[in-house]
Amino acid sequence: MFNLLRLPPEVISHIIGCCSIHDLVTLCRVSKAIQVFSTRTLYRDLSFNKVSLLLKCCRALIKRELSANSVRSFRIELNDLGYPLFAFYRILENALRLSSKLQDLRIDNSEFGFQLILSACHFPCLFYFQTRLRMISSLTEFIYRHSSTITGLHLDGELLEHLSFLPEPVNLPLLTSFSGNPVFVHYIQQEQPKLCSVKFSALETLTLTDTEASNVVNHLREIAGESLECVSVIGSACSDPLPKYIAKYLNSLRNLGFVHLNTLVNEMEPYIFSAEDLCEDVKLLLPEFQQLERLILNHVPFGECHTGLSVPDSHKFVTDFHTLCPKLKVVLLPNKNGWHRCYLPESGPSNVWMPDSLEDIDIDDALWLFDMLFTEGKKDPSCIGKVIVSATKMYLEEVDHERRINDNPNVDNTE
Amino acid sequence: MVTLVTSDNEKFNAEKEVVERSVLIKNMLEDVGESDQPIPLPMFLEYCEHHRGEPLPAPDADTSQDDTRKRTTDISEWDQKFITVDQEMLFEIILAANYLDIKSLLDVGCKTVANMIKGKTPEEIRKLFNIVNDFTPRRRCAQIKKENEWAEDR
Repeated sequence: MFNLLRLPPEVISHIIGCCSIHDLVTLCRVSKAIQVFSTRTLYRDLSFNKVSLLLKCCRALIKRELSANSVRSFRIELNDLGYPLFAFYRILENALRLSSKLQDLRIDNSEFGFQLILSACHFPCLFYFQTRLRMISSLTEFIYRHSSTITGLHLDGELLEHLSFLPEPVNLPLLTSFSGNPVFVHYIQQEQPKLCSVKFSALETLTLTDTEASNVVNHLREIAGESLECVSVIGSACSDPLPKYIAKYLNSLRNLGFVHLNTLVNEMEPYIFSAEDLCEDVKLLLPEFQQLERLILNHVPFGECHTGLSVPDSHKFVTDFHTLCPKLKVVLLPNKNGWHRCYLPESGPSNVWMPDSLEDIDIDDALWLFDMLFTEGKKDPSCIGKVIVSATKMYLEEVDHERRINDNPNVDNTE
Repeated sequence: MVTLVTSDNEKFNAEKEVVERSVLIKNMLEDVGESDQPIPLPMFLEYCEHHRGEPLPAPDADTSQDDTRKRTTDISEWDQKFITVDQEMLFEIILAANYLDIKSLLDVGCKTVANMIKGKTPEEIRKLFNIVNDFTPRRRCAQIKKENEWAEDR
């Protein structure tokens, strides 16, 4: 009979990685060697939203070095925290301090007690840190202590300006991605620009004044003007100050994201989101972005929304965007309505745009697409044949074969 | 066409596209370049033949990190039939898939073993895979069970 432990360690890890949590707990009691493999998987990624579970796990981490050494990511998002006792923070602190190989820490609560925990912790391999804690000295010191390893930072907390505490800028030489509250960009320094992705995802983005927005974007240009490739912003309209200054100062971006968030400024007249309005709005910004390759538009579904764009309408917006940004290759319209410029192996992208997925397309839209391809084909007959072949192949793979062949005899003609 | 030779000197001809599902063979072919020399390696042609045309995983895709994909133990019907072999053979297939670096086959093999573990008690798992219980004293098992209890409530 074959002994499982005679397999190479990476294969045993692979097998154990396929097991459910319940089976992992059982495997921990099979033998010492199997316990090592299953503990590593069981404790690798920890995430808690209940205090009782977090405490039980912390006790296990304190008790067994093997468990604490297995932790790579730790996420706290407690929704039943209430008014915790000091002892709660002490237990969590002890468990975290023992998890010395932690790489990814997320504290999505804002209670002051977590600040105390951070004061006592150092993780030599920490590369991602996310928090909603307020920006006070214990937090900035924590970031400072980990400044040589952090590559990703998400800061969503408030800045307590009324306490006259303004953090010192921190040099973060490896930082490649930042997300959260735009104001915190001011505290990032980089001698060699590495920062390539910035997401302004915190609600504070909506209340930025014109001067603040201009300062934020200017600072970004100073520290990472050369390296920055991707910026995404939440907002109510593209005429908000932030997108305006991004278009003005960061026009060499290759990826731009815009997430529309309905704000209830006037509750008497609730705003109705419309994908058309967003697309029209975005068109005004685009002439600045001559290097743009990917444009991602989305919205936070809230209240009433008009998101349904028909295939011909989507195609019209996408080709309009392309006229404004000649390097554009991929566009994602609201509701994950993705479009790409058809790629031809010999000559690169053509000027023909096709939807990413043809799964939900009905026969009328399919006919419309073939008509569109036919029209484009007259403009550039050398490439269009290949586009049609690949589009037809994609279509045939996704839609019912029988119906395709019966309903649309045009396929052969156009090819 | 590529000629593969097993360790007991049996020869198999296969199309390049088919055998390139093995990263090891793909790399060897690249190293050797265009040549009529047979490649002295075992088969697995049936598996690769069935999966021809499917996209190969990106070379830098780190499978050990991708938990959401791995935690599911679903195996396609064809793969399920292919892998229905005795335990000795299953482990041989896993070892070969690992050596030849055929990620999808390794995945199917590992998922099959994970399915064998599913729902069993520690004693049943020990019996199944010939593992000796080396916990002393025995009550440590109860301790470990208590420590990991939180995970089951998640």
